[in-house]
Amino acid sequence: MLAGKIARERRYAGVLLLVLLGMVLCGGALAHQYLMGHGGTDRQVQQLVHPLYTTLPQITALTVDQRLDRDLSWPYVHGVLRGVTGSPTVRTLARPNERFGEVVTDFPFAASAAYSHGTSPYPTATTITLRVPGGSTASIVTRVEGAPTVAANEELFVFVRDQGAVAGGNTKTVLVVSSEGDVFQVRGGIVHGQGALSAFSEPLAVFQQHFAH
Amino acid sequence: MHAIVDNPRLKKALSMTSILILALSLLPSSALAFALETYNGNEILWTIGEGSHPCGPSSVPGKPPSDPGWNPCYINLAYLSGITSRQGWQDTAIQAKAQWTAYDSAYNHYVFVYDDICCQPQQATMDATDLGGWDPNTGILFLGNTNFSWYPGNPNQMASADVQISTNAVIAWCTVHDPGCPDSNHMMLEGVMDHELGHGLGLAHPVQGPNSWAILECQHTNGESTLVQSDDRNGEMYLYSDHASDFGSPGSSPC
Repeated sequence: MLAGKIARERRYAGVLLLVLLGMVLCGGALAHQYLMGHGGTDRQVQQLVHPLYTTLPQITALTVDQRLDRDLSWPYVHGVLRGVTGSPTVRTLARPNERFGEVVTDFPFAASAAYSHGTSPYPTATTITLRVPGGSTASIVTRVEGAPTVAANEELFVFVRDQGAVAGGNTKTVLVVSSEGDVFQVRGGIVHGQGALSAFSEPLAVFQQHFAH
Repeated sequence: MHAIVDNPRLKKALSMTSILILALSLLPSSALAFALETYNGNEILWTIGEGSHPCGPSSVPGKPPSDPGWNPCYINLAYLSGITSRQGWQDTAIQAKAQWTAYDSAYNHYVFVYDDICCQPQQATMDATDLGGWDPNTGILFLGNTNFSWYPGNPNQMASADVQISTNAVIAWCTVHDPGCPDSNHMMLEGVMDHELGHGLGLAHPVQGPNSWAILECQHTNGESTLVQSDDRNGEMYLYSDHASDFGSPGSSPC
């Protein structure tokens, strides 16, 4: 009789356990549904930045070599830096009144040479931050159309020009590159363009001559 | 000429050609012209009003779409200080916003409006900031952009759309208050605002690429139309009307 009572109590305990387990599972599912319906998420937010652009016929009518020859004569081009990138850090810049911030990827950039008509816009033999719009964090992934592609341990030529407020804008220690034409990569002694300029390549010595005058 | 018309074989061929031309003319004139924002092969869609403001016939179960009570879809748009602090910019934005008001003449109801109803969640913003000068190596100058965000899934749920118009000094804008706008020295602000608000409702750059006549083309040239074109409208109606197939089908964006 005692054994029967124990068995019955064990059955009740088992049922109670199953009911509690069901409540936990249903509650979790409902909470997940609530979060999804209210803008909450357990997924990475995706961002895409679509630019609208125009082109300057005085530039597009020229060959790439002619454009490079004239680069330092434009008042809004302050110089060209040569250097090597380090390991990137992705950060989110706050933007007032916007739901999500602006994601940027920062590379340490050891500048070894500078080309400019006046004083170099950034000192050489120092490391500055090379900032590229877009990147990926644990909570957000941002892709910016038209932005250059930069990776760690690359030798680059980068253009120092008017970047406005894009990615926080240029500062004394941060150089922004926001367009594919801002970055040229050096691989095996050859300088390569990217994006719209991906067909461009030139030996390093020839490329440097564009800024020698 | 008389002999040609009397030739029965030629008459039959002409007749067949006429039928073919008629059939082609009945197709949407710009099928495959518009493109939609997609991710992993799925459209990125607004959950209008974050679920609190459903639109379309489903908002009033049992009512036909022609009912005057049919609710248009709307996205709230907030103007930030970059727009409100510049003379004529907010009025230009209001005109651009009105360009995207879509009326469905087949069913006598509004399908979509950009709205600024007080106190609802602001799903889209418009601001002005300096997007930089010319890229001297590509000749590109950024006029504006739309930064839109979504939660991935099926469907992908749009979370926000933030429009920025460039204030860089090399761009001379003209607004709705400037007579003779645009001219050879001034770009029409409304055209860029129209373009960016098109992204805000879920449209991508159109199939034809940078040289199309659509307001959503990826490259703007001074002197081009600043109005929402039929291709753009087809895309909008495809997204928000309840008879999408009447407006063609989306293609993939080349730029």
